[in-house]
Amino acid sequence: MERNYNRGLRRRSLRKFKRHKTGIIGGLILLIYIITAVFAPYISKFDPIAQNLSERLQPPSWKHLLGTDYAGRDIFSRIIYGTRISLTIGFVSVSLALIFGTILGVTSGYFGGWWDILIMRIIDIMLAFPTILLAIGIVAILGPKLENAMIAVGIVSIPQFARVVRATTLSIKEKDYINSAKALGVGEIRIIVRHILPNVLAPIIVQATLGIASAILEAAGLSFLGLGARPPIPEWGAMLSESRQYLRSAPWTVVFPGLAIMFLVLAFNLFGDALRDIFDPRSYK
Amino acid sequence: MKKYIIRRLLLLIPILIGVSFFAFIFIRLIPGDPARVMLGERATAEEIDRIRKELGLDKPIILQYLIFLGNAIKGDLGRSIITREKVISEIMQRFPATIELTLFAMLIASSLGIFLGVLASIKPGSLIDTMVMFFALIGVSMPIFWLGLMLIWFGSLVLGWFPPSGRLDISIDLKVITNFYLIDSLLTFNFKAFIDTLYHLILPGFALSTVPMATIARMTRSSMLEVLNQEYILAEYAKGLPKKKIIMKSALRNALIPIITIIGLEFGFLLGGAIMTETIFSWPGMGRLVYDAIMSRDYPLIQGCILLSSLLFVFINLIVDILYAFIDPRIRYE
Repeated sequence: MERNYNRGLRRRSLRKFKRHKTGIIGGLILLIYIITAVFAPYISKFDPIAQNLSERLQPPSWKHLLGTDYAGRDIFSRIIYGTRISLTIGFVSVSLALIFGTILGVTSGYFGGWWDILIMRIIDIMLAFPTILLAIGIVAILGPKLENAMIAVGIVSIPQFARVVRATTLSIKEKDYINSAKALGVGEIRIIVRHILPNVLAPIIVQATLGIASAILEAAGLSFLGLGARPPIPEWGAMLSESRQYLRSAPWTVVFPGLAIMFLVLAFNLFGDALRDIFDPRSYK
Repeated sequence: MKKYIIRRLLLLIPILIGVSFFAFIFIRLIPGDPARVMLGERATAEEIDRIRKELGLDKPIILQYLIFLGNAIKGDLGRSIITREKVISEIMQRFPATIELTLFAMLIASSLGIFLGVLASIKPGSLIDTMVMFFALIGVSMPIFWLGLMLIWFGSLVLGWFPPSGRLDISIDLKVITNFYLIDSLLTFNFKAFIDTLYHLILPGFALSTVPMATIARMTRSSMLEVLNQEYILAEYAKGLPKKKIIMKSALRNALIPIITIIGLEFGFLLGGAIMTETIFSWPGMGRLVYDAIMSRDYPLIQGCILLSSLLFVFINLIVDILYAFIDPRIRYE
C-alpha cells in the first residue's frame, strides 16, 4: 500500500510540475548548465588557464565569443569550465549543510530535552551573525582556499536545514503511527530512519535547492574577496575580482561572468520555488 | 509587555555569551601559533613574545576568555597589528559611514519594495504582477558585487552621472562633526556637500538595496494578498468605499506587520552586504575595514569587527521583536 501511495504522490507531483511554467524554465536552464559542465572540454575551444598575452583584452568576436581577459584567456571557455566549479561548490556545501543539519534537526526534534535546548541555542548563536561575515570568519581561520570556502558556506547553511528538519520532526513525532510503532517496540533509530526521515524529505529537497542558490552566491562572493578560489582557477567570482580593474577598458571581462552566476542562481531559485509549491500539502487540490 | 521584554532580554544572555565566545575563540582557532601567523615569518622572537602577552595567550583559556570579556565590556578590543591604533577607535571612525549607507539603502529598499509589492498584489496574475515578481527574483539572484560593478560601469563610466567611489568629492570641504556626512552638511548649512554626498550614496545605496527590496516586495505582495481576501476588506468594498482608500488604509496597514519583521531581518543582510558594496565603491566604512583587515591578516581588527557587527545585528533583532510585539499583541502571550 505504501508503494502505491508513493507512486501516486510521485505521479501527482510530476503532473503538477508539468503545469508549473516558471519551474520548467528553471529546470531547463539548470539542465543547460549541467550539460555544459559535463561536456565542458567538448564545448570550449580554448584552454581556460593557458595565457596568451598576444590576444589580451580582445572584445567579443567570432573567434572569442565573449572576448578575452587581461591574460588573453578566452572568457567563454573560462565560464564554461567555471560551471563545473560553481555546481560543485553548490552541491558540496549544501550536502555538508544537509547532512549535519538533518542529523542535528532530527535528533533535537525527536529526542527533545537538554540536547534540543543545546542544539537550538547553538543555532541561535550562529544565526546571530550575518551569514557572509560568519563565512568570512571561518575562512579567515581555515585559510583562503576554494575547499575552505565550500566548508565555510556549508557550515553557515547548517542552521536553516536544522530548523526546517526539526520543525517537521516535531509535527510528525506526535502522529498516531509513530506512537503505534513505539508501542510495538520498534527501536528509536528505526523509527527515525523508516518513519521520520521519509517525511522530512520534501522540505529538505526544497531547502536544498534554494540553499544551492545562496551557496553559489556566497562562495562567489568569498572568491571575489580573495577568500575562495585563487587565480588562475576559472571560478566566476574570482574572474570578476581579477577583471575589476579593466571595467573601463574591457567591460566584457566583467559583464559575462556575472551573468553566468546570475542565471545559474536564478535557475535554482525558480526550480526551488516550484518544488515548494508542489510539495506544499496546502496546495493539493 | 514588560514581562515580554524582560523574557526577551533574558534570552539574549546565552546568545551574547555565545557570540562573544566565538569572537574570542576566533583568534585561538588559527592553526599554529597565532602570534607567529599574525606577524609573519620574519618576526623576531621579541615581537612574537610581545603579541603573545598582549593577547594573553600564555594564560589558561577560561581565564583568557574572562579577560577578553572584561576588556570588551570596557570597550577595549585590543590594538590593530598594522596601524597599532585601538581597534575600537578604528571601528568607531568607520561606523557612521556604514550606518549612513545602510540606512540609505534600507530607505530605498523599503519604500520601493512596499510600493512594488502593493502594486503587484492589486491584480494578481496580471502583467504588472508578473513583472514585479520577475524583477524580485532577479534581485535575489544577482551577486551584489557584480551589480555594483555594473552600476559603476553604466552610471559612472558610460553615462558619467554618478561618482564611482568615495563619500565626498575631494574638492569639497566639509567640517566633520558626527561623521554622518548628510547630517554634518546640514548642520553646517553646506548644501553643496549635502548634494554631493547624496550623489555618492546613490550607486552603492542602490546596489545594497536590491536584495532587501526584492524580499520586501515579495513579502508585501503575499501579505497584502492574504489581507485583501479577509471579510472586513470585502465588507468595505460592499460599503462602496473607494478602492485606493481600502488598499492604502485598511489593507496595507494590516499587511505591514510581517513586512516590518522582514525589514528588520534584512538589516543583518545589509551589514554583510556592506562588506561587498564598500569594497567595490571604496566606501570608507566598516565593511571596507573588514576587507582590509582580512587582506592584511589583522586578526584583532577582524575579531573586533565580527564582534561589533554581530552585536549590532542581535540588537536590531531585539528591537524588531519588541516592535513586533507592540504592534501585534498576540505575540506577547505565546
